[in-house]
Amino acid sequence: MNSIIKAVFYKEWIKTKLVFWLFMAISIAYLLYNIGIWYRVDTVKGTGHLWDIVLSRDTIFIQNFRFVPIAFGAILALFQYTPEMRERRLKLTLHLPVNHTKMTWMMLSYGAFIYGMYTLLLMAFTASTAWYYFPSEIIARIIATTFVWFIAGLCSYFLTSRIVLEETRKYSIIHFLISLMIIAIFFINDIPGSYTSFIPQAIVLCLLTATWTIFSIDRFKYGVRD
Amino acid sequence: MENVIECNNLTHYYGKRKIYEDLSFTVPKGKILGLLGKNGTGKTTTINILSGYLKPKAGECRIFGQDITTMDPIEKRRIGLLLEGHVQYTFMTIEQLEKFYSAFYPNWDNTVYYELMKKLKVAPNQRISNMSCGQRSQVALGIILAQNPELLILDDFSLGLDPGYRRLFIDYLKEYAVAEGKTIFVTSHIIQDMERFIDDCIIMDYGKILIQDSLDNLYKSFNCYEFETQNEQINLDTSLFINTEVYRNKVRTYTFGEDAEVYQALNQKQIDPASLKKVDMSLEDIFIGLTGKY
Repeated sequence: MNSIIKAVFYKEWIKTKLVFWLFMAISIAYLLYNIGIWYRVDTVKGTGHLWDIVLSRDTIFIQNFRFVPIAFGAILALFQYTPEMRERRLKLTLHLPVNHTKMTWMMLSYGAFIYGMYTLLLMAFTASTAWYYFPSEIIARIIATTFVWFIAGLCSYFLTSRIVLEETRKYSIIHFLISLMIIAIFFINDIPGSYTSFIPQAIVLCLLTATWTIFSIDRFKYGVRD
Repeated sequence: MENVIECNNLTHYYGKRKIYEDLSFTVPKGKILGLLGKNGTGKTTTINILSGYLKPKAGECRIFGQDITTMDPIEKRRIGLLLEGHVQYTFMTIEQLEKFYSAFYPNWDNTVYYELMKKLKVAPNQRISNMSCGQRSQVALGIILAQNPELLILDDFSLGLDPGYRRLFIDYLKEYAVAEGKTIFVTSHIIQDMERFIDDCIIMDYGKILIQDSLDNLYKSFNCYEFETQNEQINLDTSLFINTEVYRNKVRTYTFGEDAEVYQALNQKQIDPASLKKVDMSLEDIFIGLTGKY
């Protein structure tokens, strides 16, 4: 089984490595641009002023970044699953001598793993940079705020997977509308830290969206299409 | 003889359109069986049911004795599947494809794969998407052969191939199947290719199987006669003459009847015996004879 997991990850990596490195570079550049504000305020007005703005104006200066993880999640799913649906190549994958539900989980796990690496690297980068400017309370607030965006991005990955793997137009539209509503939940309020208490529920919601992809694969497997 | 594939009373509809009802057939072990039919008669539907990608409305399909819808996934190691159009992971290179598939098949034999690739004169790091349709067909074939499956299911293997690649594909596969005692279930829209390749055939028409038999038996038992007549409205007994084509004063008729039976029936219609001749038939002629031109 170990060699099978390696093989599946190998195939998925071939499809997605370009988008992974591209988004990693874009995300770091975008974060650097936003974090640059911390540097400028700190240099011109001093650290005290920087902390004052963060606390009194409810900002962490990197809110612009909040849509980048959902974009990455959606594009990762597109790059991973569109080649499978072109010419219905998913049939090749599902013909492999592995239970199709297990195969689906392996493919989704790959996506979640790659997304996890992306999250880990960017959060480590953000936290280590924040360490120079802020006390631990503010850093915790920054991490909690950005972590919710990354959960939203993972949801976006799972939801887009489901849409791409769906062969009937009617269900694709329904999945798309449901996905928009679910993603919107994460962006009702953009005050930093406002979603901190929602993190456990967000993780459950995210895991739930992962299971939905299985239904699209089942429908593909049994030939349900327009 | 042991059957590798057994399909019983398959019925399938797309919406309200009936594809077929109560379709039953078997594929004996070690045989190369071709499924022939006009467009829209359900060849690809049958392949999709056989490969587990379509649930029939009724009936069951068993491969190696197991119901295909509940088959143990490990059993799929024994089945090689070629999708219509030689679909493969075009984002991979020749080497990557081999590395990927080899993890799933314990009997994987990469020599047969690379032997075929050598014939194509392509580099191992060449991406499949940059290959011609003919080259891709060989890659798909190489992947299937390297799996060393007992049963090969090939959906329209000749699609998009020029005569050279079709010949290469058939000759290589035929030699392999005979030497290794493999069972093959194949569809193709080019019947001349099937003639060189298959042992048995199933000929389908809309909604039903017209015949399942070996090619040898078909050549012996199904005949075509040509004669001339002044009567363009000639009516032949349809229980004896399966299909009759009339063009001006020339008549071509197809039958499973014996010579004596045919001569007697035509004699009753005052057909001049001097104009009557038996015509040699190819598999394509037999197919047209059974299904009609339109």
